[in-house]
Order: sequence, then C-alpha cells, then structure tokens
Amino acid sequence: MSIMHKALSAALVVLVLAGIVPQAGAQDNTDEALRQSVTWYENLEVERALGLLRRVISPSSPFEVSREQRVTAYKYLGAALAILGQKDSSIVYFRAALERDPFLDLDPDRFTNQEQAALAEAKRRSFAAASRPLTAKRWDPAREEVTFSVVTTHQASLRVEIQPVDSGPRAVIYDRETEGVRDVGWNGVIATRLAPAGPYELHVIGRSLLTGRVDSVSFPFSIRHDFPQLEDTLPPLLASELLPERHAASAGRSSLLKGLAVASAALLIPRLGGHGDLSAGSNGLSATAATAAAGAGIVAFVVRRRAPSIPANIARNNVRRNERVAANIEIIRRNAERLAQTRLVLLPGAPR
Amino acid sequence: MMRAPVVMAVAAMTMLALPAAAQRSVVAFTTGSIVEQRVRLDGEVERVAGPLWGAGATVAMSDWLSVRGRVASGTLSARTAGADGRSMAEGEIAVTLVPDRWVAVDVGAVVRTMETSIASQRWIELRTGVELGADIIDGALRGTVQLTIAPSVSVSGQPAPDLALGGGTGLEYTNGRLLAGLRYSFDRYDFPGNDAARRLEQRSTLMARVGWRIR
Repeated sequence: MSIMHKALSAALVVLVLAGIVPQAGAQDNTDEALRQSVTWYENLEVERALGLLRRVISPSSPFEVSREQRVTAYKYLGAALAILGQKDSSIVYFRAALERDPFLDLDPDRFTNQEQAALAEAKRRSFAAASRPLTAKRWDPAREEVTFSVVTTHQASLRVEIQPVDSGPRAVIYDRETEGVRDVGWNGVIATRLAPAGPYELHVIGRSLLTGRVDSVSFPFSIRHDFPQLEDTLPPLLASELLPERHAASAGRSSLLKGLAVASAALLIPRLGGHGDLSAGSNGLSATAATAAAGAGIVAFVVRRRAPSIPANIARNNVRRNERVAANIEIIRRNAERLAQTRLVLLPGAPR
Repeated sequence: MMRAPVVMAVAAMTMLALPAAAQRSVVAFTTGSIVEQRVRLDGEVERVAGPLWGAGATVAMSDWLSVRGRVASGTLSARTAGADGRSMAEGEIAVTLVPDRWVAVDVGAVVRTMETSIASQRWIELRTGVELGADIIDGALRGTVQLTIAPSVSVSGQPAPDLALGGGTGLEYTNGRLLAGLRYSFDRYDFPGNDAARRLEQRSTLMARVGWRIR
C-alpha cells in the first residue's frame, strides 16, 4: 500500500511538472533556440541554424514566440537563405520580418552584401510606414524638441502629424519624400501656440512612390504642461467689501432727526436743569444753539436729498478697486513669467 | 488772581511738547464765547454777560484717549440793575476717553477767576461728564449732547455748593485739517442756605471754536 501510494504521488508530481514547466519556460526556450541559431549562423553552420529557426516559427512549435523573437527568426532565416543562394526565399522571410518591424536593418559589419541586397529587395517589394514606440519626454519648447523616429521601407511621400484627439488644429511636422529611417522633431507648437494639455495622436502616413500603396500608423499620447504653480487673481470686490456710495433714502430723514434732537436738547437742558428762580427772561444762547443744530439737520436733509452720492466713499472705493486691478495685473505678470517657464511633457499611451 | 488760568495755559503748552511718538494728532484752536451768568442772592437776581476769547489744544494719544487744554478770558457786563461788571478768566484741562464712536467720557479740572472792582473770586472745579454723539453728515458734521457733574467745587469766600451739574449740546464740523464747532453749555450751582436766601448760580456759554490739525 505504501509503495503504491508513493508511486502514485511521484507520477502526479511528474504530470504536474510536465504541464507547468513548458509554459513557464516557453519564452526562455525560444530565446535559447534563437541564441543557438544565431551562434550556428555566425559559425557558418547555416543548415543547422535554418532547421532550428524553422522550428521556432513553425505553427506547431510548442514554444511561445513573441513579435520581436519572430522578427529575429525571420531576419536570420532571410540572411541564412541569402547565403545559401536562395534569394527568393530569403526575400520572402525578410518581407515577413519587415511586415512586423519596418525598422529592420542589417549591420553591415555582420552581414554580407548578398544579405544586404536581399533585404533591400525585400524593402522594395514591401511597403510600410512606421514610427518607433513613443517614450516619455520632458522638454523646454523654447529651446528643445521631442523627436519621433519614423521609417518607410522604400522611397515614399511621408506625412507626420500631431492631431489633438478632442478638437483643434493639427500640426504637420513632416511632409516630404523620404526613404528609410528619419528623426522628425516637434517643439510642441501647434498653430503658433503651445499645444494645449490633453490627449493627442501621432499619425504617420506614407504613400509608396513605387507602388502607390498607402500605409499608416497612429500612436496615442498625451501632453501635460509642467510649470510653477500659478496664483489666482483676486476676485472683484463685493458690494459688502465696499463703502456705500449713496446715502440710503432714509439717511436724509435720519440727519434731520439727529439735528432736531440736538436742538431739542439745547432747549430742554436749561429748562429742565435750571433753577426756577433763575429762568426768568430770555435764554438766547440755548435758542441760538438749538437753531444752529436744527439748521444743520435741515441742511443735511436737503444736501442728501439733492446729492445722495457720497464722494468720499466713491473716491475710497475707487482707490480700492484700482489697487485690486493693480494687484491682479501684477499677479497676471507673475503668472506670465511662470508660464514662460513651461515645460511640455509627453506621456505615451491613451490618457486614462 | 490770574495765576491759575496761566498755570492751565502752561499745562496746555506742555501737552504740545509731549514726546512726538505719544501724539497721534494735535489740534490747536481758538475760541470765542458768549457767557451769561445769573446769580440769585438774597432774593435778587443779577445777570452779567459778555464775550470770552481763548485758545487751546487737543492732543490725541490714540483713537480712544486725548488730552485737552484751554484758556479764555473776557469781561462780563452787568445786564441787570445792581449787578457788577467783572472780568473773567478760566482755564481747563481734561482727559477724554472714547470707548466707542458714539460716546466719550471727560474727566478734568476747571479753574476760574472773576474780579469786580471791589472783590475777586476763584472757582476750582473737578468735573466729569459723558458725551453722546452721532454723525449728522457722515464724517463731516457731528451733533453731541453732554451731561456733566462737578463732585468737587471750591469757591473762595463761599461754602462749596450742594449741587453742581450741567449739560450742553454741540455741533462739530470737520473738513480735512479744519475743525470747527459750536458748543452750548449750561451749568448750575446751588449753594447751601435757606431756600429764600440761598445763593443760586447758573452760567450759560455759547462757544464757537475754530481749530486746525497741526499733525
């Protein structure tokens, strides 16, 4: 029972490992196969290299093959077949590689003229326009550029555009005949202004001058403006923050009543506070004071009825408003200085 | 006999000489007053009146504290038969506290001398009062009502009065550095004695004041 149990356990472990290990190491195995193929190719064991490379790209291969690995396999297949004099087959494999990577090229120090010629022919027969994947970049738009590396496999008219996703004008940053790899610069300006922050697409559109075929590719990216924090301008002064510029309708009456109250007090004080034996005879001084106070109230009443505005308050309010405007002008100036320090940041991929 | 008002004048001048840092504003002013004094003595009422001319200064130490000094003198003429004309001089010094714009509290002393051809009399009063005020025209014209009491009054040759109180009204006009005012004040003094024979005095003053803010 014990021996049977151990045997079953061992078998189970083997079965599990057999299922997991090939998947986990699939990429490693493909890399290993490619490295071995390249080694054989460089040691001029071309036939052995061909066999292994064909197994890598075979649909029945048990290994996972990435796009880059497949391009490498096609490249060395094309090169090996070119060495063996099988030019047409070589071109077929080079074209397969170019379809996946239009930037494919052969190092003149490592590949023969025969191989170079086969690749050149493959490029003439295929047509692709492409750009290298975008990478994050921060730059000063006043002095620097972000560079897009684009390619056409053979002579073509090439147009490279920056297109805002939402709306707005596009920037055509390259539009001419070209061939091969070209670095196209963009300082971040669209229609004489800095590209607003937001989502964009890089469009690369090529038209073959040999076949008339059109190929294009697009890469989403976003632009962010990077600058020191801006100050908010001060809001307009609220009515509650300003002095009243007109007297209330009741202000005239209030002034009149105050004047009359003072006049009444001037008349009442000697009557109420004086001694009866000394009150005989006129009291012209209190009457004069009362007349003056009543007159002042009446004058204030008339003045406020005729001219309800308060010039002193208007002047003070205007001073405050002008100070606020001057403060905002200064804030705007400081913000403009900060905006002049704007750096653009390109972030590859669609914004989330 | 004129020594006390002179002392008050010196005190007023001293205020102007306070350290500049302690002064927020200084207003120098001149005054012109009409004074009417009524005295009942032995059942007879005498009345004298006349102009007083003077000058003074107010030194504001802060928004809520100021010191005022004033001197004035003039001649009061008899307005009733049997009354004697007299020269009058007075000096005042007072501290004013302003806890709020509508109310002020005064504490001070007044020294007054009156001389007739045959006698002279000196009054020394310690006074306190409250003044209520309101703008009739904002920032330009202000109306005030005052109530005062003199808890300590000494009069040479007389016993101290039993009752010394007063009241008044004022108008104060401000335009830039110019300050002008018209103030009416009424003071009553009841001296001790039998009702019919007791000495009673009342003084009414209408004082015009023109000042200039020096700083």
